[in-house]
Amino acid sequence: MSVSYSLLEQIIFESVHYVIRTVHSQSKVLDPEETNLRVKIATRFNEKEEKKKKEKDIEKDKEKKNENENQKENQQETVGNKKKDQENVPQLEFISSKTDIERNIINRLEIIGYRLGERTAERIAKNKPRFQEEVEKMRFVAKDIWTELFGKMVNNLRTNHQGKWMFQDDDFKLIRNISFTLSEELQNLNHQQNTRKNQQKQKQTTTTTNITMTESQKQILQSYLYIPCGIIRGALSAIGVECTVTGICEQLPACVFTAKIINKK
Amino acid sequence: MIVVSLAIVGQKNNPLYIYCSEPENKRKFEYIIHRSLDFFEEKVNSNSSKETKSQQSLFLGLLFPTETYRVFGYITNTNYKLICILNDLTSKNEEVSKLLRSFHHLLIQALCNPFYITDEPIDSEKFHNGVLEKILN
Repeated sequence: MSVSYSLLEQIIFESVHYVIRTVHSQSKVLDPEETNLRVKIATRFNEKEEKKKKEKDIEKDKEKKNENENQKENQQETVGNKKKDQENVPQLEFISSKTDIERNIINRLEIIGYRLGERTAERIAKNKPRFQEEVEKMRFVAKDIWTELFGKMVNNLRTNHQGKWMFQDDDFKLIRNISFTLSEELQNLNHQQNTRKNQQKQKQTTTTTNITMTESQKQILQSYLYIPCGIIRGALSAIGVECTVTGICEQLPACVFTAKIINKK
Repeated sequence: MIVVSLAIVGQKNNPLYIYCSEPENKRKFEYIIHRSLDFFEEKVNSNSSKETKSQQSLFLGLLFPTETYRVFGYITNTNYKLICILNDLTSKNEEVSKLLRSFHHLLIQALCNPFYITDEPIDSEKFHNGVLEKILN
């Protein structure tokens, strides 16, 4: 997060610099005041960069402390994290107790989905007759919005008649082509082969390859589900149904989004 | 058909856009628009046993007549209310519903602006120009 902000600041700084340059190229005379200004801007920018580097270091220390605390509780996750560090891949470190940074990112992703959902709902609901029951509204999201955004309808829509609705998509477009790194896939295959040896011979009739995943992989996948959760929440709130939406992915292309309706009484 | 005023009221009954062709009478139109919100609620929450076409359509028809004006209402599925006040007594429902549907289209375009924040007044020039065009035709 802090990396992207400093890039933005760099861009802004360079564009300001460019403006000053173009203005002065017309006059062809450099005032001593302007050069002083530029020097001041440059020094302030460097100071900000240094401050942000210090903040980054402080945050890293805090994250390491949290990792050490949770090591005893969740050993698998920290092992996964260590392997990631060894591979030098820049990824989010997933810690069981969510830090402020993570919550901020999750919020922002969800809001992106929320706005998307609101606006697509506006566009599509234009030509529909007025919704009268909750079922119609849910069906609207499951059929119309899903076909508009993903080209297919939700495979299964269930309810527990107490304000909880589940949208199940067996082949969710946004995560269909996700693959994990080679070492993780090999781990996965080994795990699967071992389970097959222990089981009796079974007929393989499934056409889609449903990959079972480890805990750390599920956590990585979780971050891809926040935007569709936001989409559902936005579409429903545009129609007038306030709810909270969570998404779970058990086997790779199939995921389930549950919407819990908030009753205001 | 002389459109005297057009108003758009948001999901939380907050006014988003009011156009008046006679700026002197703006207060009067605002009052009429405020009154018409009650009629919207009445029509929307009426008995669902009567499943007629009017229940299912977005155009609500004539809400209520005052001495000199006629007030038409249109509610979208997303609970945005469009209110149109006309000055003449001979306009047909179909014409007004066509007009309100075109306003709905303009409204969707204004709402989909990524810089637009929900529940803020609609400031878009394009929207305003579109409204004026439709009214003058």
